[in-house]
Amino acid sequence: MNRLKLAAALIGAVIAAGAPAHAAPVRLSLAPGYKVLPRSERTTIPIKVSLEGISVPSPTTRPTANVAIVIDRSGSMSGEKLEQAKSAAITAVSMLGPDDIVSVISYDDVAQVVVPATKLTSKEQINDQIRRISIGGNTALFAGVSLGAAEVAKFRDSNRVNRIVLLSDGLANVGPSTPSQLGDLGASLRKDGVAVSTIGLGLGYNEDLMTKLAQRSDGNHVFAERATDLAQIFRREFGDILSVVAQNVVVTVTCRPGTRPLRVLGRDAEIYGDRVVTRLNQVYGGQEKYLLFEAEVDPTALSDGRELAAVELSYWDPAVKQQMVDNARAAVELADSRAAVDESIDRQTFAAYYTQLASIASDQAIALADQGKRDDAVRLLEQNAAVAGSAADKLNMPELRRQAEESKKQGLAIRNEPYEKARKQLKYEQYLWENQQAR
Amino acid sequence: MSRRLPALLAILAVLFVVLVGWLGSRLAFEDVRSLETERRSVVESRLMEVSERAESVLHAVSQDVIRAADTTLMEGGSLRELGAHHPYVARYFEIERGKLRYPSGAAGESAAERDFHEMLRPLVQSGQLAGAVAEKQAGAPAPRWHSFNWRDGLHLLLLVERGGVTAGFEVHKARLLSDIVVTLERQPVRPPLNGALELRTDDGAVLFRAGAQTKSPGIRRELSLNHPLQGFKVSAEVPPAASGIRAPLFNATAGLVLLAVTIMLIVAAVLREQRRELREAEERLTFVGKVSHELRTPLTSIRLYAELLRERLDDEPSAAEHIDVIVRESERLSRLIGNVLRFGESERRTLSVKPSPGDVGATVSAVVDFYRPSFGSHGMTVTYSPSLRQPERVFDRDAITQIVHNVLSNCEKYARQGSVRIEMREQGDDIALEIYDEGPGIADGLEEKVFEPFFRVSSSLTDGVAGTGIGLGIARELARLHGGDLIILPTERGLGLRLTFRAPAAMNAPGA
Repeated sequence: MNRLKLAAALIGAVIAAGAPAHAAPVRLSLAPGYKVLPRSERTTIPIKVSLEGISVPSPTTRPTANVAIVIDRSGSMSGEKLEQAKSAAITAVSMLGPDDIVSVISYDDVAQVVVPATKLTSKEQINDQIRRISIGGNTALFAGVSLGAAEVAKFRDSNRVNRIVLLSDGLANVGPSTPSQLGDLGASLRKDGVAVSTIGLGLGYNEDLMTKLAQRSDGNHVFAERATDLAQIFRREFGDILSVVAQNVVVTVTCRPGTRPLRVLGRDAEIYGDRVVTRLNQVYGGQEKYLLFEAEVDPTALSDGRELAAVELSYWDPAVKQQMVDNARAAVELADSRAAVDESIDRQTFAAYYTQLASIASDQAIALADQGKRDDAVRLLEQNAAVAGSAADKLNMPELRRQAEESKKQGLAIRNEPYEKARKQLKYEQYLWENQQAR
Repeated sequence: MSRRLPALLAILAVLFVVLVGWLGSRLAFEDVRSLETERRSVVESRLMEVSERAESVLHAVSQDVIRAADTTLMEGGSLRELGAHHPYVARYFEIERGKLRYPSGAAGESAAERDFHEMLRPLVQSGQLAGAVAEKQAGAPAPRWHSFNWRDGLHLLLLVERGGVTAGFEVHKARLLSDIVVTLERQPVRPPLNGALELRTDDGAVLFRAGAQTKSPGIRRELSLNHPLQGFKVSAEVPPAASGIRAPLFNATAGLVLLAVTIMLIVAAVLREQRRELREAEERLTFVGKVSHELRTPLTSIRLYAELLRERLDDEPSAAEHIDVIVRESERLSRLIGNVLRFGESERRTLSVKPSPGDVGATVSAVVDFYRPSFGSHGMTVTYSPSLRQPERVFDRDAITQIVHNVLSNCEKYARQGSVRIEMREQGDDIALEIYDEGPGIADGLEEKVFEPFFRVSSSLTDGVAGTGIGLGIARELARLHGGDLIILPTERGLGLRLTFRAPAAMNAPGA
């Protein structure tokens, strides 16, 4: 359904713009939760900035990849786990082309470069090296990521998709291993245009660390329960890598008088008075990323145009090797009746809004459960589910019912599953929601 | 003599071995100590290498940040944006006139900026971030680091003065550590001496590790990194030296033993050689003695029967003359043998004199008479007029005869002309006999040498003269044994010899 819409939009844009040589790969839109606001009272509404990667680039036009695969070979990976990881890596490498660059790092007590950054002229050689990775001792995750970053740095370029794919099954016990330290590293790497996607295998990894690292660098995060899931996970990750349409993305929302940004939900962003700024490492073709924030609107202070906010999008288009800029605005109408307001609801904005609220509830539930207050955690999630459920009915939005189901399932997971598994599950789902990662 | 030399050599050998042993053990210990020092310095240099790597990373980062800041300013941009896109800069701040100008905590700043303000304000107020008083130096002032602990750990700030304003940058500490890890892994710093090397952060996490841990390290050294990473420690552990003192000590001992054995062998060989030579000399002397004895026996018979015949042939002068020759020659031979025998005794230290009562004048006269015909045949005159008041004395007749024989034989051989004057005097219990000839005499410097065995003065006059060279030596030794001496007198020409010997009067002799 989405695809059809996108196609239509594209055709429209082409007709409208007189068929330019290259269409902007990202469609920008700014959508307040309601198109009509009450005339005389302040309201707090969600506002969504949407970035839609329009189409997956073709193999010939896509930017080349520059990927470091970092594999944990600590003792806990012995047996099937490491074998599956290696074969998944080999499968992923097979998706790349001869101009793509790959490097492979393995780590146990220390990290080693198994395959230094090299163009994919001989896949067999690289696969051989991957096959040779064997079991070691401890888990020097920080060193593994560091060496991966160093290999990527060799060919790092704004026209390439620079990425580190990290696989770990255990707790980092050699080197810096707190979420804030790994997050700090991730933030630094993102500014270099390198995203770190983290794959946590099994129940022994540190989900806070893995999600923080991915979040700050704007990579993906996946909770792989079984080693047999790895092949598909690697395929999807590499699919993302090969579908990047925009890099170094900066979204700046400037709220107009009468509109005050309150908080951003989900994504990392900064509020400077009336400005909301967020940065993404990339936008994938065929996927949507959004920035969702709450704003308080004072209708009496709105300007004549009743413009709530304007957004400026700036990004690097690797297909044409150019910096692109786009703009969008959002204005509202004012009405006296509540019904008019309700009818003007933007379902997509609210769907995103409830998704983010569910994520916040999930995070709070984890905080409670960490303190041992499992029942409170479950209750919180059930409350959230109830809120989403009633909103589903009131707003006639079936997708919210699905959201409610997911919150309820999270509650069940906390109650029934071993907590270390439930926690990873919850953190994974939060990540998917907050970053709009395709499942 | 044969006892003392081996003992001396043995003592010397032992002393030598002890000296070398002492030196060797000193060297061995020195060796071990210097090896340990060397090992320590290897460890220290490896620690320094790690520290220098970290320094170089910090330096590279500060250069990069300052360069980016300068570029931004030149292009008219704002340093506040640097944190958004510089991979090493997390956040930016500004201090002017001791106050935190940015972030200022004002409305319109983001949550992150407010948090940063809260973290920096106490630092700025306490003056900790104030730089050193501006030094008048050419070019831009150098950037400086500052580290401090806040909430979640260590934070690193880079500060630089730019136009009266202090520009501050909080760097991504994790990225800095990541760069340190990469340089230590990529251009590996090897652990020293098969030990282990470890770099730990301020909170104890191991940032870099190489080598295998040893259970009981021989050397363990630790070094703190320089500011601003002074909380970081690099440590090295090295297993103990392979064999410690044992190897050098073993070498030294083995060397010593070898040396001692060699010296012992040499000493033993030398001693054996010496003993052999002594034994051979002994044998030679014994042989000579035996031969001489064997010669004497038939000689005695010859003389005896010759004298018997002489008495019978009183009436036949020519036969009597012939017999005289036989007697005289056998006497000469007897004297020669006597010399040889006495020489042997002298070498074996068994030479002695046996005094008994007799007529000393007659004894000497007999010898002089023996040589008169021979001197006469050479045209030499002999003047001898003994006048002894007490000729009866106690003396070794054979010894005195031998002495005078040897002296006069010398005259006969070497003088060959002129006169020979002999004077005998009494001096109490001693007798002095002086013999002067008019021969070539003895050259200066050879006065002692003529008494040495086998020595013969070689000159044109005496070449071709038979002789053994032992005569004067034997004569002197006998004289000395007899309580006297044989000395050369200073003469204008020719040779003068004085013989003295003790010969107490017969009636004064004990037991007489």
